[in-house]
Amino acid sequence: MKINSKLFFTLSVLSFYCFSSFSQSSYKAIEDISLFKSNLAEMSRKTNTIKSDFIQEKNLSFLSEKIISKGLFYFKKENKIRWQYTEPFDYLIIINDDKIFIKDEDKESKYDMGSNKIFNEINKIITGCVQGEILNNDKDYKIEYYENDNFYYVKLTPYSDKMKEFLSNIDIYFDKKDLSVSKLEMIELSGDYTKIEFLNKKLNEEIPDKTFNDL
Amino acid sequence: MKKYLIKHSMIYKNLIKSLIIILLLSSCSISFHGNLQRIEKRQLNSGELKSVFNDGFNKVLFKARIQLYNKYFSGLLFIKSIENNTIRIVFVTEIGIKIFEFEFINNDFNVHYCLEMFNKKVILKTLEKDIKLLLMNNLVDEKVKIFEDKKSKNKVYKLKKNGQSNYYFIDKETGNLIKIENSSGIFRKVIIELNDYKDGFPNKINIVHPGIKLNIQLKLIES
Repeated sequence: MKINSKLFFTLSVLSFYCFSSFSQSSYKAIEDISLFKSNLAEMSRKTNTIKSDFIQEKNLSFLSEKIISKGLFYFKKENKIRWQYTEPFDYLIIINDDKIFIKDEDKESKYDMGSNKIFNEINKIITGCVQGEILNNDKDYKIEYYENDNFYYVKLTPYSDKMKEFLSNIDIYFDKKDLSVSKLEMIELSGDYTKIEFLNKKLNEEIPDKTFNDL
Repeated sequence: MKKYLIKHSMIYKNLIKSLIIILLLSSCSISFHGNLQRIEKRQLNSGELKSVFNDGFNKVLFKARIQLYNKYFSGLLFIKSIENNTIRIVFVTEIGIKIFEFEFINNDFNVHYCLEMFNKKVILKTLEKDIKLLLMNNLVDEKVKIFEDKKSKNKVYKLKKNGQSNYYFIDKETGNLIKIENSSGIFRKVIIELNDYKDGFPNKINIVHPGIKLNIQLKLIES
């Protein structure tokens, strides 16, 4: 049981933060990567809250089947997240600073982020994504930058074998209009993928702290 | 003579002790069906005992919770029937990470994908056996003993193969399959309960292994 539920959770959190999709054919390499990164950092600095709906599509390539789920996403600076599935099942993940809370119907679990190296790592990923710093993590990922008329597309390919067992790459799509994350795709070696689209995004609206309290 | 008796009673005591220890260590529950009254023994008719995943079955999505030793995994279990008596079973987490993907062609079992944490011989064997129990393939021309539960009056089919017995409990009112039990010798190995039937399909399936901490709870999302 080397890969434990905490690593599992790392992946869950990762998935919230990285986006993607669309045919890559229309994308070309970004010429001025440092300008893109500094714009993203500036946008992150100005974003205190994010409220959004999401649609998640799990694509099972061999079966030509999709599993669709929907829910709500809330983020509040510095480190508060509420990720709530509402259809077709109820499942809730809350990250509040150094605490993680999961509610799966009648079962509730709590984890302490600080007690664990992996959770610390998650924390870095979270803040890194929101503040655009994940794009500086070329130690863990090979990072490629593309763009088309509507999106910046960043492709992260993990170096670690453990990560590769789950995912061959993670694609993040930033909306060119406001540099917010619009789509995330996690692609597996088999060709199956999970696509998460963020819809009805509202930036810097008031979100009460109790949204991030456990129940 | 007295010495002989004492010696023998010691042997019995030790034997009983050993049996108790074996029972405790094996942590299996005993398969005891004292409330069953045999009605008949005959060949099983074709189609008499059918899986809930029968001929007309296409696909189903369950919310799944799997307890493996002291860890819990929750996610979605997708089961789809594809051509040539093939069934695919995929377990993914809520956020979409695939944990395993199995395929059954008739009674052959193939692992297409399995994360390290589930990729252990004993776990795969157990899951294979559980799913085969649910799929109930090749239950034709077998000898069956049919019982009636004295209390509930439910019908119980007992099939024996390779030293293992499978019990199938049929609700007397609805005709629904409500429980499958697999036992080896006197030990119950697997208990599958199928509850909350709607339109001929169970909305809840619980799989319990008295001997190994691997329990599965399935709740129907869509079929």
